[in-house]
This record gives sequence, structure tokens and C-alpha cells, in this order.
Amino acid sequence: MNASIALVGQPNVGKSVIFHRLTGRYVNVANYPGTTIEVSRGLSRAQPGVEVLDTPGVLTLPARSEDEQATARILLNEKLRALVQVGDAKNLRRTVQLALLLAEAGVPMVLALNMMDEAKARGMAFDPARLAVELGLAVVPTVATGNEGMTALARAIADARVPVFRLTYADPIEAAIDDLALLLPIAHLSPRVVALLYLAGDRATEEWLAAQGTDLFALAARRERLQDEFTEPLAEVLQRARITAAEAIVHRVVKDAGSVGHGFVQRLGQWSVHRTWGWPLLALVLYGVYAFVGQFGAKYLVDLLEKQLFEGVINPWFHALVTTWIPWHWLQDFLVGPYGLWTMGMTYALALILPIVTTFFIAFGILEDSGYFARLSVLSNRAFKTLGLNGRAVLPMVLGLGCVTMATLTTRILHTPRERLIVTFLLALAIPCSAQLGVVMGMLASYGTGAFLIWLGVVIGVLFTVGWLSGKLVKGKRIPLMTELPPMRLPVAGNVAKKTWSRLKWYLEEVIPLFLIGAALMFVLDRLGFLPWLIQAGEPLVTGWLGLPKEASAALLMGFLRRDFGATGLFALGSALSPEQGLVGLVTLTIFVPCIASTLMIIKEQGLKTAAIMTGLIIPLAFLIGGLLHRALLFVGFA
Amino acid sequence: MTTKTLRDFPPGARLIVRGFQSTLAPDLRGHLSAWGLTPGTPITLLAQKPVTRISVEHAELALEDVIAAAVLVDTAKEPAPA
Ligand SMILES: Nc1nc2c(ncn2[C@@H]2O[C@H](COP(=O)(O)OP(=O)(O)O)[C@@H](O)[C@H]2O)c(=O)[nH]1
Ligand SMILES: [Mg+2]
Repeated sequence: MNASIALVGQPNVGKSVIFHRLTGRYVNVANYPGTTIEVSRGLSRAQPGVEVLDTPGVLTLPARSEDEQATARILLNEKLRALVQVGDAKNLRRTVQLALLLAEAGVPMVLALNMMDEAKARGMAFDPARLAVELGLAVVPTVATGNEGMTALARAIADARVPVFRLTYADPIEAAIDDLALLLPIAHLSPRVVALLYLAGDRATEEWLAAQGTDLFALAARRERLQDEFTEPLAEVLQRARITAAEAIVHRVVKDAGSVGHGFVQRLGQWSVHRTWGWPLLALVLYGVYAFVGQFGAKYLVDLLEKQLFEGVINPWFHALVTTWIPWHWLQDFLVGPYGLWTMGMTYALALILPIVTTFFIAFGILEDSGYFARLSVLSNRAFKTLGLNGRAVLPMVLGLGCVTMATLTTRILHTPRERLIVTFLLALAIPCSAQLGVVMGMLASYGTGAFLIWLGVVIGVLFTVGWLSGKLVKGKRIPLMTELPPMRLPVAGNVAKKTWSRLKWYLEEVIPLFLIGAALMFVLDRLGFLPWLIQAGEPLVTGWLGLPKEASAALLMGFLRRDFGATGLFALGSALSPEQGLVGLVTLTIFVPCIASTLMIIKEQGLKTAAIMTGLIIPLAFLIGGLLHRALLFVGFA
Repeated sequence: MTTKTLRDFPPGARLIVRGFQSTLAPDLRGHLSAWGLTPGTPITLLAQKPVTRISVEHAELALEDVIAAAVLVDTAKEPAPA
């Protein structure tokens, strides 16, 4: 295998933008720490046949969360022709502190000092050439988003050398490193860095050593002997040594430390987390999102596409085409009948869902790129505290309003398995995705504001009650909020467009096939007489308990395939439902199991057992709440 | 030895990190030092509500009260007036 180039560095410093510049391959870029959750690979444009790896960031080694471990794993397992550390120029101490470890890895290395624009804007002045001498490697100042310094970077990567650098640790540590070096297996990394990682207790390194069949006993004994010489954990002792050295270097390199930015955007960033102004600003943001997604997307665009284009032009034409050219009645039905592939599957996916999802992803992308979400975690921390979580959970939860499946994957940015479990469960239970939300809103609109408020109240009530319970029941301690707030930036149009497109593509590839399969399945079940049977069998529950017409069973069944699909099923019943029945049906469906795709994602991320337990809790709960709501509505005389 | 913490100062204060309360869990402490909160580091306190916010170098951190209360700090000496 060919040696590759790895991009490493702290979170949110521009690694993914640089990856895109070096390879032409797009990966998700976001102004939020932790958006790159898996390693991406692409081919270098400058060096044909050479692979470039984009990694999730690592604040410092040893790693502290699942996604951070990827960096050490790559260093240990990949044969690298060059290691490119991307660093934030305005946070030099932190950047140098990581460089001090990487520079000893025995791998050719380049340091890209990115975000030079922001360093300059803050009045920072320093000497990159001096830093290069101090670290014994090539240092390239860059502005990845402005495409500055990219040619120089590509050249430096091609010419990269193993750094001439050595940081001398305290004597007992140096002695331990020498002893360990004799016991370690051959690695792509220098034994010195493997020893340093092992001494700091890096999990990925320990796993790698175990996989190599190393005598872990001897290693552990030596590590314990060293630990006995210090009162603080070794990881901290080692880090302290690097921080002290980094401070000294930064002191020699920096001429002017600059000051905090006071531009309009920065000020906006301060307001957005202000104890009072933060809230009206949030209301404004929410209103903006509602106007764009709810009004423009779900009303205007859907109307344009569904009524004008599909029902007005395409569907009659396609219907005529099919009935003229296809002699078999069942096939006609299969394509353009009530459960037809085209009428139900494609029309629905393209005319109803696509506009809603697209506008949602655009709005989400703008907020993400601006750095607003990190600030939202500050504002929402109190609410998440009642769920046993902290404000960081806001990102997957809000993303869930777009697509629950995608959000389930994004729970990886959370620090503990406990947080991931609770958020995954709440996503599955009470967060309607944009597709479902669109249909639900459409139906509720015709029932009036009261119905909407009841729906919202019940769903939020369930979210908090169940969340509060799971916060109490799931083992483990709550982690208090502790997060970095990246600088507020004006969103870059190209960035938002690329991001929206990559999300949409993912969505379409996942959704369209499922829609078609779903429509086909309903057709077959209907033909085989299963639907009529199910409608009969579900009658006690659906009619007796929920008070819905028995045909609604079919909608609930479709809800298994996709939640929004089920909502459309209710929608199709139209005037057969009273507003009370519609409301009960919608609430039940909102709480109902998530779509097949997100169930598969839950299985992948949490395991079959957890997924089964979740489903087993959610289905009865949905019926329970639906039935209770039905009785409550009858009691208060809701019509 | 100082016993003042991040919670004891008003927004705008310029402070020096002195250390951590021994009650702070080692992994949380490791996280803070990875962000640059190590003894001797100068920081600026930006706000106390809804959560404590500080700036370190050119980075901004948000810390919930229990964590802020575990960070020991001192006022930074103002440069003598000329
Ligand atoms: N001002 C400025 N912003 C940048 C620069 N490079 C990246 N960004 C922005 O920084 C954020 C993080 O970028 P990303 O590539 O996702 O960082 P990663 O986490 O290291 O992969 C995004 O909002 C980028 O648009 C730069 O040189 N200057
Ligand atoms: Mg990235």
C-alpha cells in the first residue's frame, strides 16, 4: 500500500476545508467542534495516487472521547508519507503544545497555521519562520477558506522532512521512555512517541499494543514504577511539560498577542449568549427559520410543486401515459393507483418532502456555519439539565428536526455513552423529522391554532417527562456543560451550499428507495388482503382505544416504514377524520417508532438489544398517550 | 494559597489561573488543561450568566457553575500606572 498524508490537529481549526482544497473531495465542514466524526479519505490533487486522510480533531493526546481516538489510531496504523498538523494561528499555545508531541513521531511533518485572517484581524503579530526553526519543521501560514497559502502548503507537503526536534522531559520520564522503547513492537511511529502515548494512558495505543501481542505486563509494571515518582497522574505531568515548553516557544515567537475582536459579528456573538439579549435573539432566529422553512418551504414551494407541477401537469400526463400503454390493470394500479409507486412514492418524495428538507438543511447550514449552535448550547443548558444532559445535546436534537437518522449518527460528538443513549432515545421518541413535521403542520393548520398548541404541548411534555425519567434511570453521572465557543462568523454561501447538497444527497439516497419500497409493500399487502385483515385486527386498539376510524390502522402501519409516511396516510383519510381524531392520530404517530432507516441506525450505533428495548418502550407509550389524549379531549369537549 | 474561584469575580475581571479544586474529577480537569487552563495562564472573565464564560488566548470557553467553582484564580496584577 502507498504511504498517505494525514491531516491532524485540534477540532474546528479548518482541517476539513484544507482536505477539500487538497483533494477536491467535499466533507462536512462546520463551525462546531466535532462535526467530522469519521475519517475521510480522498486522493491528492498535487501528488497522483497519494491518499489524503481527514481526521476528527484531537484537543490533546491522549484522546478524551471516542471520536478523538481516531487520530492516535491513524498515527499507529497508517504508513504516512507526511503528517500535516493544522493549527489555529490565533491560539498558538494550544497548537504548539500538540506539535511538540507530533514533531517527535519520526514522520515527515508540516505545520499549517490556519485562520491567519482571524489572527491578523485581532492584531496578532508573530514570526512563522522563527516558529519553524524552534520546531525544526516547515510552517506554512494559510487561510483555508480564502484559498491562501494552499500552493505553498502542497509544496511543503511534497518536500516534508522528519522534524529535527526533541523535547527533553524530566529525568525519570526519559529513563522510562528508554526502558519502554526496548519492549515496544516496531511501529510506523518512533518508539519514543509510542512510549509517551502509552505512559499517558492513551486508550488507542493500549489497544494497538494488545493487538500486536505485546507483553503488556512488563509495560504496565514500568509505567507504575514511573507513576510512583509523581503525585499527579502521568498524563498531566507529561502535558504540563509540553505546555511549559510551548509557552516558552510562543513567548519567543509572538511579537504582539493582539486583543479580542470588536467587530459587529463578534459583538453579535456576545449578544447571542447574553443573559437577557440572548433570548429575544433566539426568538428572532426561530422566527426566521419558521418563516423560511415553514412558510416558504412547506407552504409556498410545496404548493408550487405539488399542486401546480405534479397534480397539475406531471401526474395527469403520466397517468395518461400509463393507462394508454400498459394493458394490465394491476400494473397500472401499481404505478398510478392510490398506493402506486408514482402517485404515492415519487410524488410524495419529490413534491412534498424535498422542498421542506432542502429549506431546513439550508437554514441549519447557515446557523451551523455562523457558530450559533455552540452558543445555543449555552442558552439551552438549563433545559437540558432537567434531562440529565448538558447544552451540547442541542446540536443532535435540532438536527433531528431535519432528519432523525442523521442526528442519531451525530450523537457521537457527545462525551459519554450515557448522554448518547438518552439523546438517541429521545430522538426516536419525541423529535419529529422535518418531513413528518411538514405533513403534521399542514394537517394541524386546518384544525386551528388550538390543535397545534395541544400537539406541541403533548409532545414537549412527553419529551421532558420521559427525558427526566431517563436522566434519573440511566446509570452514570451527568456531565456539566463545558464547551468551546468558536468565533461567530458570517456564513459563507459556498460553504452552506456544499453542505446542504451533501446532506440532501445523503437524504435522497436513503429516502427515495425507502419510499418506493414502502409504496410497493403497501400495494402488495393490499393485494394479498393483508391490509383489510390488519384493519380488522387493529380495530379494538385503533377504534376502541384511540377512537379513530378503523382505516387509520393502515396509516399506523405505514408509520412503521417512515413516520412522515404514516402522517401522509392520515392526511389521505382527509375529511373521514374529525379534528379530534386527526389530532389524536398525529400525536400517536409523532411519538410512534422512528422510520426504518433510523431504527437501523440505532441498531448500528447502540446494538440490537438497546434498539429492541427502545422500540418496545416507544410503541406502547405512543398508544398509551394517544388513548389518554383521546379521553382528555372528549372530556373537555374538543370538537 | 488562594481560595477564590472563577465564581467570585464580576465579568470583565482579568485573572490568573492558580489551580483546581481537588474535588474536580481528573478527566474534567484534563479537559480544562487541554484547553489551556493551566496554572499561570492569564484569562478574562466575560460573563457569569447563563453560564460562566471566559477567554483564554483567543478562544472562548463556557463552563457550568460547578466547573467554574472548581477553578482557582487570582486577580492579575495591573501594570503599574506610568
Ligand atoms: N476565518 C477563517 N475561517 C476558517 C478558515 N478555515 C476554516 N474556517 C472555518 O472554520 C470552521 C471549521 O472548519 P472545519 O474545516 O470544519 O474544521 P475541522 O473541524 O478542523 O475539520 C468552518 O466554519 C470553516 O468555514 C480560515 O482560514 N479562516
Ligand atoms: Mg473536520
